[in-house]
Amino acid sequence: MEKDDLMLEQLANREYEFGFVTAIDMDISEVGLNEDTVRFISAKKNEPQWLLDWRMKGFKAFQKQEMPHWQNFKMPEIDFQSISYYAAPKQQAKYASLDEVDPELLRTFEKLGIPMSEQKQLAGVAVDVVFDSVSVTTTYKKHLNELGIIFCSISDAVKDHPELIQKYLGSVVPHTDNVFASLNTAVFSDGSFVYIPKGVRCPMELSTYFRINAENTGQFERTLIIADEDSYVSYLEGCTAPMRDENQLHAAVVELIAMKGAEIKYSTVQNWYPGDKEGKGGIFNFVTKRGACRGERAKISWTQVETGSAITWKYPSILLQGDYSSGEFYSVAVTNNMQIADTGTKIHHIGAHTKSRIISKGISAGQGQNSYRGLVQMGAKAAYARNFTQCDSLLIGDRCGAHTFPYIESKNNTATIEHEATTSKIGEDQVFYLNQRGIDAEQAIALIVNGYAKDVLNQLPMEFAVEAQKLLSLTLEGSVG
Amino acid sequence: MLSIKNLHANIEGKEILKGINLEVKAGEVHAIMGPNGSGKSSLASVLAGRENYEVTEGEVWLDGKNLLDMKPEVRAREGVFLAFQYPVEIPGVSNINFLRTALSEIRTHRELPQLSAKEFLKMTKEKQALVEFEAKLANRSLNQGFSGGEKKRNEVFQLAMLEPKLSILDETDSGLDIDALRIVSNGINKLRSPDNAFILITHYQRLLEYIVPDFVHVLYNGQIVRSGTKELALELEEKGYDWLKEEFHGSESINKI
Amino acid sequence: MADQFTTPFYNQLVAEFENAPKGEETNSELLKSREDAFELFKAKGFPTSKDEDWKFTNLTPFLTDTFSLTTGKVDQDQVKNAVNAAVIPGLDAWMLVLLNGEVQFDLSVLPEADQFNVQPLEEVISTEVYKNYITCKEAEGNRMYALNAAFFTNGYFLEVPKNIVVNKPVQIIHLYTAAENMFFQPRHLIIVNENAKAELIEVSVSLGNAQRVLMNSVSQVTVKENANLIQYTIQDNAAEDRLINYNHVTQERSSRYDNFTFNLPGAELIRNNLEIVLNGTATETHLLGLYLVAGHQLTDNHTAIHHRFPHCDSNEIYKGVLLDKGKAVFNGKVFVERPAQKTNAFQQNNNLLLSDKAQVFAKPQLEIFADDVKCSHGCTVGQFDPESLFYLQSRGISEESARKLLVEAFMFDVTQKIENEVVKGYVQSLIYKKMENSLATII
Repeated sequence: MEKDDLMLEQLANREYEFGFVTAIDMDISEVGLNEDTVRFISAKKNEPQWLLDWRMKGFKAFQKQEMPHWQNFKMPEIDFQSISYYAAPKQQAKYASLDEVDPELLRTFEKLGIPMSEQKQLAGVAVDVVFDSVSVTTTYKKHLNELGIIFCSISDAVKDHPELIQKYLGSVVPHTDNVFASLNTAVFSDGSFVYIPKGVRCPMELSTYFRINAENTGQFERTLIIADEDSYVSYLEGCTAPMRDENQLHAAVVELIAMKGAEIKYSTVQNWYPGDKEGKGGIFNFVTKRGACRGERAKISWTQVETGSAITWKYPSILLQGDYSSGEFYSVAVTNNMQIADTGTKIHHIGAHTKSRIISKGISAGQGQNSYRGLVQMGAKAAYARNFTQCDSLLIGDRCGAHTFPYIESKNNTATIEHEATTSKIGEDQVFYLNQRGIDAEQAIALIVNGYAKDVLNQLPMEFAVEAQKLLSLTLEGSVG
Repeated sequence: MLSIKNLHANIEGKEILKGINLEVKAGEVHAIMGPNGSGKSSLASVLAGRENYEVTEGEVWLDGKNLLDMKPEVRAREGVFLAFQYPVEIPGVSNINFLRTALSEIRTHRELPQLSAKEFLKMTKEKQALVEFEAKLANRSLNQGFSGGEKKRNEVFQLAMLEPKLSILDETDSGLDIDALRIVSNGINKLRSPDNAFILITHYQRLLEYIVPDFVHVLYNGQIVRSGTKELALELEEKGYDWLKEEFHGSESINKI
Repeated sequence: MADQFTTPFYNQLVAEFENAPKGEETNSELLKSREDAFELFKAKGFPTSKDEDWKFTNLTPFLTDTFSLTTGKVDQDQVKNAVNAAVIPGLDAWMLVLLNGEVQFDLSVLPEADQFNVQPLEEVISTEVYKNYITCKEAEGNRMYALNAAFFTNGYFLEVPKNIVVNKPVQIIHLYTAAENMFFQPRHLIIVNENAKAELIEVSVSLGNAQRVLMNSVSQVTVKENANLIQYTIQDNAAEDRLINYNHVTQERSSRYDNFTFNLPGAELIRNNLEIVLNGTATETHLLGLYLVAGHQLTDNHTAIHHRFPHCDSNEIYKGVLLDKGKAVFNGKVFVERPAQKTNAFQQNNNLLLSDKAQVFAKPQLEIFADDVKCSHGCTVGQFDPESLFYLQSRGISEESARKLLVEAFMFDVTQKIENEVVKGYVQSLIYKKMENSLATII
């Protein structure tokens, strides 16, 4: 036990790997939020009137809304007036090639391990990087253009494809959805836009890397992905932030639209700064993600590995509107030290013969609190719909908590719902067995946890899966007690 | 007793029986053999009235009554018994309660007097002894916690209890070790009489060493492609199914011309 | 939000309390707690569907009538007949009868006090009993509890002395009848002392004379060290009845408590709150429930188990069969607090939706703060397995009988746990009788 304590001490002192600050000239808006802030952002981006009008609607909705109260933690006081809503690297011109990018920025990307080099491009990952709030560069564009795939920043899409933006932006997550979604509508700065034309299978993973760098800023990106009939796309999202003593707000919105026969696979590895071990600092991650299976046989799949943030509040949801459409949610959420995660999914079965599958693995260590909150709803027309949910919690140490709040609702007697949940501690006999084979406790836990999360990690694209495994082990370091 | 004429059936839109003709008389034992996927189990399911099969053409008569018009339970009461390849487990339904309900409904249908509890228990004991089925039934749920062999023996025990005219045994021999196979076969042999008939669906010839059939049919691709006596089974054992397949495909290509 | 404050019934209750003659209560602590409870109710009103615990059970439509708070005349013959009809046939039991919450000694059959002691609650309320037993931390903020705490007037007190194994089960008949719409708020108190054992079978019935009965009852149960209590709640009321119950159980070290709850078709609203507080180590708890919902019924079972000490086991199975336009809500909470290491908590909820108009809302919930635990829950919603149905039919069993068998099988996990064979038979026959009509019409 003594040895373990020592190790715990050592490892608990380990610092957040991505906690560096990049010294880049930033263009930052004044702190505070009012109608002028919204106008300022819109003007900075040369937006058309209709977009400003929509932002204003979002702002009005934001003013009327209350903070959510139902989650399983005390909502922190967030002073919306002390945040700067716009921060961008000063050099505004678009880069033709990577050579033109500020070398400091490139070094940052290197530290982050973002696959930006030519080599990585050959590996077939197209990357859009959102640095603070502005999309810095999108790689691999030409090849995608040839297939008719649009992959660009949302600001570029507003300019180049206004018809798509006007039609779909806010069509899945309305500007009134919740306080954070309304705020995002009002002040969203940038984000990624993807359109896959009919019948096209996107040949590579599309990826966006988000990074909060500046102080006192929030990040409010917005992502919109449209997969037209019978198309396919796999999209990856990664995020990091520097270490700061204050909490920073991240309130993103992601909308996915899958038409008839289309499939969207959306993977997230979330590693925002979690705060230090006393719970000081860290990102408040309040994110609204929702996808709509609009047509028959459409499919949306969310995979998330949540290891960072002081607080994570997100429920990637799926509306199964088309008959025979299907949805999947795979999640691993790890909370260590003082971290809080309240996450899960909502699946609305609207069409007939719709199917969904939920696999959630919560891991709590330190004083971390991990809640699974889920809704499975069978509407009156969801004939022969099926759901299966498996929701497991693993506890490491006796000061953490694991909580499960599933809502199960059925209005159709031909629909079937199966929900299973278990909570248990990490198996002492398993750890011992591995110890006996010469593996130390730390590694043993990493092995066991990775095995435990395997069903979810398997859903990630290869390159991300490796990173996610590393992150899981890193996040849990120091949790042996 | 049973007369199948040009029977065609679909499952999920796919034709699986493509014109079966078969006559079974009282006192006879027919074996239906054939490779996997040839339609053997489908034939059993269609005869028992499984819902997801759609009969598209043909007739099935049982002692002058149209079997295809009847619901599954009426077929059972009229005397069709299917020994399932995979008997379901129904937790919470006790074996005894299940049997008593079934027997009582069947006896009502056949205009036989109901058995008293005492008579019923006596019959249960006798039939259990007859088919050498020793499992304690009173407090156990239907097939729950039964081994594969026990489930199959329970099927034969039910057969003994319900006294059907026509019994269809769907791969009752599969998954049985040699002892269990002997016990199950002995049971069936004891139940044979001039008044009843059996259709044995099997993949292997070994069952037919214990229960000697009067006729052997080979089912392939939804049709009976060959009929004969028990020697046909031996021939199949020796040569496998491949030669039949070749021959069948040959004739099919001729038909196409 | 403001709606509930403008309803005539709310105003009536507020006026009733405020205009009641003061100083009648001799127990000052009780008086104080009544006033505190009333203030809470007055400030917050009836729960609405905005309250998480009432999200799917909207009380508002059940509170639009006006209700009288004082009982009028009752036809004694009718009462006697109803009591006779409610007696469980063939059960050799002691009998406690309550009419509209009032203990009826003349209709009861009770033993000498060495077996157990029964008194009307109002007779023991001014003694130490109040101080020691009538507080309920878990109910803080619960407005229906507060309403009862403010107004309750009658109910029963039952105490089993130390080391006594009560020689027969006790059937408790709760009979409700009203010549006009009535609001009843009884409160009951059960104490099973150290090493004692008892079996209580509570049957709730009504005369069904077309007047509305709204009931908001509270029971408090204490099972002391090494004691054992089996409590049945059989709710077999008429369609005019609306039942809201809060049953609070405290278990001390090494005790065992078994609760069986059966909701039968009838009462248009049933809302049960069953709250178990494990106040010592090595306890054992079994909660078994069956809700059979038909017609336009709404039944809502909320259960909560608080694990506060190590080495406690809890086991919960609630099963629902939904017919017609029935709507069922199940909410099962399991809390495992930090000291409660080595907890085993198992929960299962299964629902059979047998009508295309029926609805079910389930929320099993685990909140766990200790690590060395084994907790699980499972929840399913669905219909008959077609394969099982076919198997039974292929053995000559009619579709209707097959469905009945499968419903019986579905309920088996709960019914098999009833050790008292007479009670088991009674409950099963009640279920079949009630289901007969609806089952025949299932497609």
